[in-house]
Amino acid sequence: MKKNTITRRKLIRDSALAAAGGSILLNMPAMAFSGTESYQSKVVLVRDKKVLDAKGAIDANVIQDMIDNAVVELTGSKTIQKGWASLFKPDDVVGIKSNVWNQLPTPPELEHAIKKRIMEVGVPESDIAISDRGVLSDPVFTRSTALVNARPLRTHAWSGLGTLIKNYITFTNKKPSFHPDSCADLAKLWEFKEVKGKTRLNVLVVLTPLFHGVGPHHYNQQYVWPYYGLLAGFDPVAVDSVGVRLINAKRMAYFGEDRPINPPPKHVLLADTRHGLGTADPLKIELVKMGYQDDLLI
Amino acid sequence: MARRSYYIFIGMLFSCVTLFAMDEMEQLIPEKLGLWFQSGPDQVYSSLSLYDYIDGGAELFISYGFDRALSRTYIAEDQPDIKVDLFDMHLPENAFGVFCHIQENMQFEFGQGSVIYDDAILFWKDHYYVSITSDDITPASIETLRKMAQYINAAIPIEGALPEVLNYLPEKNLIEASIIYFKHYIWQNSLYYFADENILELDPYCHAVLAKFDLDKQQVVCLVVEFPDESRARRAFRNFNLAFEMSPEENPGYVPIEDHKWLGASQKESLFMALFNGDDRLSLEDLMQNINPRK
Repeated sequence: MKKNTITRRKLIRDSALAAAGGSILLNMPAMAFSGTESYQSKVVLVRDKKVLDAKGAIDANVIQDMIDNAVVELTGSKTIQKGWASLFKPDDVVGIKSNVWNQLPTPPELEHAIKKRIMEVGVPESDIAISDRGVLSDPVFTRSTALVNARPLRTHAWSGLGTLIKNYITFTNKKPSFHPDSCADLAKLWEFKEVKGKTRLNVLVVLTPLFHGVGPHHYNQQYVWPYYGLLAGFDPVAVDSVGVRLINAKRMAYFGEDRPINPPPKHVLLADTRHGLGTADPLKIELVKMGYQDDLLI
Repeated sequence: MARRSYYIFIGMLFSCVTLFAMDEMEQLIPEKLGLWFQSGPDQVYSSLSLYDYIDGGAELFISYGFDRALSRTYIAEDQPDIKVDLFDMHLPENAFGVFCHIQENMQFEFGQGSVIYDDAILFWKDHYYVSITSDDITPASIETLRKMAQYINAAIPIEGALPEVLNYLPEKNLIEASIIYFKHYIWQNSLYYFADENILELDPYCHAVLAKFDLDKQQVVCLVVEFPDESRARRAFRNFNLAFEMSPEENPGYVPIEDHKWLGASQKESLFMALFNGDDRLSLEDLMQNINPRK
């Protein structure tokens, strides 16, 4: 047995692991553990009920406002323009890394909202690309200086959750090499030269998250719910960590009991504790909640 | 030259076997049903190509010994497409294992266990896991999904045996819908997180089952693993004791952990047993004593 095995006992007892591991693997509130808040990362949750109509169609204007509000809050800027200008320069070459999973893709309305603001900063359209599975051959991505990482939050049959950390899986041609131990070391992707240091903004789409998967395609309409939100931040681990708490909370509310995400999304915890990509510790994450406040869950 | 001929022969033999198996699977699903008829050729997937078909879901099937799959799409005018995916899991226990992951709403209307939604019917029978889904929901599609399930259920001639390790679970207070049968350690935390690593050294030769027991205001999680031999069960017990700082001399052993819950572990011949989430030692002891083969 390896010395660094994370057993339940170790998780609870080890103060360095307790809050992050407890919230990700055990679905325990961070406050259950002793510790003081000392923020390292800021995550913004923006919600607006008007973003979805009765049939679930997305209002492009509302989602534009939502992502703008998130950027203003994250950057501490006074205007939308200054907020986006603090993230991108006119000579940047920008890849918007989306996700095309057909059941729950990155909404085109969000992709266009991001692209529009980047163009307003002065980046020519020819230097902006939106792609998922074609990033390694895309001429813009291959010479990119900046990335935006945007994908929906969903449960996943093998990694536990489809996360921002995991969204960079298409930057490798060796996907199976990341499968062992339920994709434990996905954070290594962020060391690839195509990616490292380039991500300016992470957006985890929680308009209609998938909180439970059934069947071979891991999807059923019964297990998505309208949450009307976007989670944004500079630290992908922190944003994903908040995402894990949201899914755990929804599963608890829906099933009426603690139903662990299966398998546990340990790649989020290990992105912090093993790879140092960011923080998964709720006590080190400042979560700013904006907009619609009903049924927040977190 | 001889070696090359040998490989060509083996390749042809393998292709013939695969084609025969696929032909067998094709016989299990209709070419048309009601308003719906087959659209395009069947798609066939191996463990290598399944990733192309099920984005993110292939590993679940592969962890249960997936053999091959056949996918057929049906279309009807002004109606949603219906898709049938037939997974040959090689052994009934494997088909049951995959099904365990969705059985919280289980019924027995189709096969040996089914889950039914308006836009999906999932069931297992013998060594097959069957998924029937529609793109959208109409009264006709709901009805046709059920008829399709009836057709395939009838076409699979026999039922498969449940894994024998299930027989060790006591019937009293067992929450049947919580049962998770598995061989790959990835699923060991399905009901209760206890360790991130494969501390029991599970592999495809092991048979493991997790289940919940409703014990007077507490839900205890039970893990039973049947190893191929006693020495491996002993090693699993030793590893578990080390990981949870339990006395290696005590068999069965019990320990309170830091979330104020008790856990227990025991090894008997080729069996390893663990109980988690108990409020007290006594209730775990009582349950542990009842983990025996059913008569």
